[in-house]
Parts: sequence; C-alpha cells; structure tokens
Amino acid sequence: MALFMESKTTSEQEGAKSTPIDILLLLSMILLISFGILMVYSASRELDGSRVMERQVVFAGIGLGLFLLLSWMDYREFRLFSPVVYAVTIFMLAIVFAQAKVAGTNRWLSLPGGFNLQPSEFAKLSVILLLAAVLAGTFDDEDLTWRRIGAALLMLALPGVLIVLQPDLGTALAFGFVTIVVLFAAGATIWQLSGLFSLAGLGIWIIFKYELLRDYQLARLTSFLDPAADKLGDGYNVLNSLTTIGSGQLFGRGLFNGALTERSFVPEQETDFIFTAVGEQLGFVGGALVIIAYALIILRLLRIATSASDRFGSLIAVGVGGLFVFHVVVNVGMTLAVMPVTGIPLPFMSAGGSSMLAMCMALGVAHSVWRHRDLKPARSKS
Amino acid sequence: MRLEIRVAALATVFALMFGALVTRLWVVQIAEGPEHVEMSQSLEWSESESTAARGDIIDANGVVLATSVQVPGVVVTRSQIPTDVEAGVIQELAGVLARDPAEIAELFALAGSGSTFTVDGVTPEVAYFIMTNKSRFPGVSIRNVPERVYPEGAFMAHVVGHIGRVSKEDLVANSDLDPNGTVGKLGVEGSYDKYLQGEPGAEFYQVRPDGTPFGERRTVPAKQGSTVQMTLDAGVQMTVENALAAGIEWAKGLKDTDPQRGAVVVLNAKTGEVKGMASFPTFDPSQFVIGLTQTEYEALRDSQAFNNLVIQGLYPPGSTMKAFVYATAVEEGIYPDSANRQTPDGSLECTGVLTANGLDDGSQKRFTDPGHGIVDLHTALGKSCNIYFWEVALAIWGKYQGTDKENILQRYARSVGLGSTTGIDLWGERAGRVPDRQLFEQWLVESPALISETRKNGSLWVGGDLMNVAIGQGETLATPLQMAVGYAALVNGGTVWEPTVVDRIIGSDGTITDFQSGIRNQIEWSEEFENIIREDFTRAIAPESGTAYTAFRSMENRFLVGGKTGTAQRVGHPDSAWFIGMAPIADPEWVIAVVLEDGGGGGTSAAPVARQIFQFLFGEAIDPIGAGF
Repeated sequence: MALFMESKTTSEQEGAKSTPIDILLLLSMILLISFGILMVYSASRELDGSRVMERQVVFAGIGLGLFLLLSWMDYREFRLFSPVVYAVTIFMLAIVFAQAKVAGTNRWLSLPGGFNLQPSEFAKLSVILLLAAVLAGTFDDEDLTWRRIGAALLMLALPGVLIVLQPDLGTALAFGFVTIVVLFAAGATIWQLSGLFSLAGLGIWIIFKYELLRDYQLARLTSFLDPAADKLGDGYNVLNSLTTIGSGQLFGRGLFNGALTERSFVPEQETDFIFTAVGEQLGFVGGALVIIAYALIILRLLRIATSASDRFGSLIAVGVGGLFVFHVVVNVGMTLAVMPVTGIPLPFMSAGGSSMLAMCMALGVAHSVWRHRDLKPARSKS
Repeated sequence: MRLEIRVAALATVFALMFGALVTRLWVVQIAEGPEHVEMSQSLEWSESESTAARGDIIDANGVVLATSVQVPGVVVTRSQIPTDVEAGVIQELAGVLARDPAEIAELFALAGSGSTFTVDGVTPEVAYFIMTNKSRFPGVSIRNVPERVYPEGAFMAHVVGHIGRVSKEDLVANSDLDPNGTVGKLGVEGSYDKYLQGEPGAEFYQVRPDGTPFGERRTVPAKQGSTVQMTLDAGVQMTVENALAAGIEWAKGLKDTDPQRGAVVVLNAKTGEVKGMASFPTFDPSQFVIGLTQTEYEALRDSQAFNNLVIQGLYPPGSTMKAFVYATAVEEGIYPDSANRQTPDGSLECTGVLTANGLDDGSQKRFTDPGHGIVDLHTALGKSCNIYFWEVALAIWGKYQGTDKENILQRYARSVGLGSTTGIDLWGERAGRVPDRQLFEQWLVESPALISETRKNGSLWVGGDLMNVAIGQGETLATPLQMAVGYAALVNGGTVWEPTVVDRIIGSDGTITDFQSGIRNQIEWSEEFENIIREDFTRAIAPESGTAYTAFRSMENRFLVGGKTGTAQRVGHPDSAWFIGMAPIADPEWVIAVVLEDGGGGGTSAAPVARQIFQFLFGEAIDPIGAGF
C-alpha cells in the first residue's frame, strides 16, 4: 500500500522531466515473457521440440512491438474511436460462428498461414476501453448515474451474449469481474453496487432454474471443489496439476529436470497449465517470484490509475489491472485446485498468440496513459 | 470517495487475493509436498501401439486389388500385465482361443517384454467372452485391427504381391518396422512397402505400481498407409491372364509339349509403363493372411507359383533374338558374304543347308534348317530363316574375329537391355546373359565345371557360338520383360525403358507423388533402319509365309500388328514358345511378350495368346486360341 501511495508523490515531483517509460512495468513484463518462453520450451520440448517455443518467441516479438506502438499513441484516441472499436469487436466475435466448430466451440478464427486467432482475448481489452469510455463521463468529477451504468451494461450486453454463445465461460466471467472493478473505481455507490449484485444474483438463479449452463460448464465450475470425485474427467487435469506442482516442493526439481512435465503429465501444460511447469521445476520459490512479478505489474497499473490525466485513463488502468488480477488468480488458482478450470491463460506465459498479443496491447494502452499523464485533463472544477 | 481511496481499496482486495494464492501455493508445495512427491514417484508410464492400416493397391482405373479392413483382434499389451499373473493370462488365452499354451507363450516371447501385439483369428464369441471377463484378462483387449484383404484373389497376384511376418532380414533392411507387424514380401507389396506401411499410432497410459492403468493420457492415431496406384489396367490384365491360361491349355494338346509355366507382359512402348503382367502358375495372396501349411507352401514354391516369370523366368530367346541381329546388320552394314550364295541384289538362296568351313578347327560343319528359297534380310525376318542370320553371324565372324568388334552383335543386344536387369520397380528381377568370349574366359577361372572338355582343349569361343547367339540359343538367356523392353526400343525411336508398374502414390492426406519410367539408354537408329523395321515386323503376320500368319489369320486388324516368333530349344526339354508383338505397327504403343515354357513352336502356341490380347486392345471380339489352325 505504502509503495504506490509514495510513488505518486515522487512522480508528481518529477513531473514532466521524469522518464516517459515506466521501467518497472516494462521490466516485469519482459521478465515474465522471457521466463514464459523458457517454461513453454521445458513443457513442450519432449513432444514438439522447439516448435512451440519458436512460435512463442515470434508472438513475444510482435507483442512487444504492439506494446510500444500503443504506448506511443495517445490513449484518448480510443475514446474518439470507441464506436469503431465496438463495431470491430462485435464483428470479430460474430464471424467465429461462420467457421466450423473446434472442440465443440466457436472460439477460433482461422487466418491464412495456419494461424488461429481467438477474438475473445482481444475483446477483453475492447470491453475495458468501452467501459472506461462510457463510465468516465464528460467531466471527470461527474457523479456516476444509474443512467450511465445502464448505458454501460447495455453496451456490454451484445459482446457478452456472443461470448456466452461461443461458449466461453472464462471470458464471460472475466467480463463480469472487470466490469465490477471498473464500476467501483468509477465511483459506483454502495446502493448501485448492491443493486447490481442483486441483479447478478437473479441472473444466476435464472440460469440454474432454467438449466442454461451446459453440463460440462457446470462440471468444470464445480469439479475443483473435489477434484478426486472424477479422476478421468474434469478433475483429472487438476489432480495431475496438484501432483506436479506439489512435487516441486521448496526449490523445485530443477530446470529441464521435471519428470512429470517431461512426460506431459498435465494436459495443456504448455498453455493453460503452464504454471505446473514452473511449480515442478522451480518450486515454491519460482512460483512465488512469478506471482510477485504479476503483483508488481498490477501495482504499477493502479499507480498509473491514480496519476492519469483524466478519468478515462484511470479507468483503463484499473480495468487492465483487474484483468491481470482475474487472469493470474483464476489461472494459478485453477492449477492449485482452488479455482474452476475455465481456460483462462496465464498472461505472457501460456503458449498462444492471441493471449500474448492481447495482453501486450492491454499493457500498451495502460502505459500510454502513464506516458500522457501530464496532459491537462478536462475538468469542470479545480 | 476519491479515486485514490477507491484504488487503494481495490489494491487491498487484490493483495488479499494474491496473498491467498501464495498461501495456497505454500500449502501445496511445502505442507503437502512430500505427499505429492510420493505420488509422483509411484506413477509409471506405459505405451501401447496401434497398427496402421496398410494402404490400398489399385489399378490404373481405381480397381482395388489390395485393401485393409478392420477386424476384431485380441490385442495383448504386455506392459499392462503384472508379471506375476502373466503365466495365468497365457493359460486363459490359450483356453479361450483353443490353442496350445506353449504356442501362446511363444507369441509372448517373440513379441518381447513390454510390447503390444495382436493375436489373430478371433471369432465374435471369443471377443465377447474376453470383453465380458476383463478381470481374467488383464492387459488383453479386443480392438479392431487392420487385416489385409485381396478382393480379387489370385488376380494380378505376382504384381500385387503378398505380405508376411517381419523377419530378421526385414528388420535389418528397415529398422523402423514393427517386429510384431507385417511387411510386404513380393510384388508391389514388397517394393512399395515403405509407402504402404503407414505410421503406427500409440496410446500412452499412466500405470499404478500394481500395473493397473489409470487414465488414458494421450492417443496418437495411426496413420493409414498411402494408396499405390499401378500402371496396370485390370481389363488388360484379365485378358492377359485368361489368354495365358488358355494358351497353356491349348499347348498341352499339341505334340511334343509339356507346358506347365508361362509368362506374358504388356508394355507401353511410349511410356515404359507395364499395362499387364501375368505369370503362370499363380497363387492367392490371401493365403498368406490366413496362413499356409508347410506342405501347401512347399507345393506352391516347387511349382514356381511365387516366381514372377516375366522378370524371373530365364529362357533362351530363340528366334526372337533375330530382330537384334537384324538391327546389327542394318546399322553396321554387315550382310551375308558367302560367295556361293550371293545373288546380284544382296539376297541369298536358302537351300536348307549351310556348310561352313574352318570355323574353329579347320573341319567342315553342316547346319540344316527348312529351306526358304530366295531370302533377303527383310523376308528372312518374316520367315525366321536361320540360314540367313547364321550367315550374318559368319560375316561378322569372318570380318571381326579376334578384334574389338568381335562382339558387335552382343553389344547391340546389350544396348537394348539384354544381359542386365531392366530396373523395373519389382523385386527379384534376373539379368540373363548375352554370351561372348569374355564370359567363357570368366567361367574358366570362376566355374570351370560349366565349360566342356572340348572347349578347354580347343578354342574357348568359336564362330559356331556366335551363330548360336544369332538365333538366341547356346548360353543366351533373357526374361520376357527384357525382350519386351528390347523390342520397344526397336520401334519407339530407340528408348530403352526402365519399366514401371506403379504410376503414383496417393498419400492418406491426398498428396500425390507421380512416378515415371526411367530411360536406361537412348539409341539413335539410322534412317535406313527406322524406315523399314516396322514394315519388316509385319512380315511374320500378314503374308502367308509369315511364321505367325495362322495364329493371326482370324484377327481383323492383323495388318496393324507386327511381331516375331521364337522357338527356343533347351536340352532335355520340349521347345519353348515365344512371341513378341507390337501394335499399332506404324507407331507402336503396345509391346507384348509371351513365353510358354515347354509349350512348343512360337507361331503355334505363343502367337495365339498375343493375338487374343491384341484383339482385346483393338476392341475386337476375342477368338479362341485355336482359331485359324
């Protein structure tokens, strides 16, 4: 807590002279990406050699490029062009339905050259930008009205429905978490928040009453409560994941020395379950350091939020921060059997292009908020 | 509330969540760590292979001659059988399969420890029994396994080939083979095995210390082998096989014959592709799938049913050799020069007797043959006049004896492919030989037993030997395929093909690899030769004096066919019948070589077989073999 309160004063003193780059943010990001590439290699080399790792390096390069590009753009452009962002997001989420289902879902968009894009990963950033744009209001000191909250929820409805139809429960939950975080930061009152929670409660009641969740979705959401209940079903990943991480103990078995990782004991160990590779090979020390690196990024994002030149920027930073919290807590929690298995990747570490690019872009936009913090905000008072 | 306070509140909540995460990590790795380590050490891995279905073999039009079907099989995964109950499992299996326990135990031993193998021959009842009594059969499962099927049975058997169990030799040749699998042994099954094999799949299991699998982890599906499309045409092949069988049957009724074997090949002279290929007697490749008894196997082997006589049958070419002597004569300008026979226009009078002086030891030798009257090179080919071609040999002998051109005739024969394998894409092809002085010198050193005492004491290689070469006798040997390739080179502008039976490979993913016949040699024939050779080949068929006139008399398009008969003599055997034909003769596409071993005269026995095939190729109704006689 003290860390980020203090840093605010420091940066205010440094003002415009300060370095335009948030070194800590950039370093943590590069550290996690590099570490992720190493882990992906350790988890995929037995079956795929260096192929998966090489792809990850390429995506990391493109991701860093996008991060820098967006950092140097003025984030307020996104507010001007938010209708375009909205249209593109809806379009991308919609055209996946025109393609053949993969593993029972319409989650992927096949691109020429053998690449598969996952629009829902990018939609998370779009939702943050749109929420920030709608909730920021015209003036930064305006109160958050029910009307504005209603507009935000209405705006979210279409992408939300498309995500649920895919179906991609994890992304839908990410939308929900980020929305609550941004609403809170935007100044929602206790009454507004409790009103919204009641609404959500009603929604969940309806879902169960009319059995709107697919069986496998329900099973995944509940299996983490007792992974041993179904050894070959959904609990199977989690049981293997626990054994793998647990066998790492304090210092781990050593890099490239993980007997279970080498044998792909955990399905999806180079993507969603990449944290098992960290846990087994580098132990509690390695796992905790990774979590600390994410904590640093999130602290910096919250710091950016409090120093932004306008409320739009603040809400973007808070939203991106919320997104990272959700991804890290749900993903790592899933490997530790305290969160459901919902296919939420670990940012910068899970193998996969869409997640890597989307997360780099999200940090890039937040970093742009930081770089443009000294611009005069549009304020009606003070 | 100000933004800063709200963000601080969020930070607190986030910090608590992260704190919980690290605490949970501590619990899993430190508090419960030893428990997980123990669990991880108690796990073992095992994998079980699944057999890939062998690719299909199809003809040029897609007719399936070999394919794979899925049949239930008893699959034993030894890695899943706890060692202490293995003997019991063997007993149970032997009981349910009604086989000797020792036999089953041997299968286990052959397959090796930790391996996966299929025990064949399972009935639905047995499959059901094993499936419903799983506890008695740990590590034994009923799975669909691919089995080779030859829908057309013995049809095209020598080209399609057969499969068999992988032997030690097979493993030496290709270490990628599954020692418990099958491999192509003959024909396309053999020479294209690497395309047909496919890639085995695998299932990886986790196994508890007691050997029981828990949880299937990963399945790599088996990849079906590629489809091999042959150049052969089932329609042509059907005619070829029927004609060959009918020809042998017909020849059996002739005087002084004993035909038991024969071979026919239809070659495309323009592409080197084999369109039909049959060897008699034959076998049904399915027998290798169900299994042959030792007696059955030996009977088939002794009848040479497994030999593809088109590429493995070595016969003296007899008079079919004369076409190459013809080519030598024209290209080298060497014609009979015996003063007593010479007529003003270069022809000679064949009286049926040839008296040669001083060929080796100075004595006079007398050779006889039916008299053909006045013949020249062209009519001599049609009438197959030995005297004329002997005279050509004598002219060569007289002119070049002892010089480096002494073997000029053999050189021509070799340039069109005799004396070495054609390089066809089938196994076991034999090279034959074109004898010369060097061969006998070599034999003298390496295997003197092959050389008669007279030769050893006198001259090793004499003019009479060259005369024998000129009529395809003596030590001259060739396969039907070599003769077809050689004749194709005479009429296709000099291309000596490396023939192929496979046109292309169609991968299981649809990728196509095309094969083309290679060119072993390209001969530049003189204009004089090119102008006359095709017409001269019709002389055996069209005129009444032709040696195959009777055999082709009933064929409408006989004027479009050229060819040459041959009657090969072997000591202690009836004559063997040869016919090599080409059509359409103006620009031949098809070359057909027929041999009926111990089948009599070429014009009488072999030519009618070729005629039937030509009738099919020209779309005519096929007359019986005996028609015209």
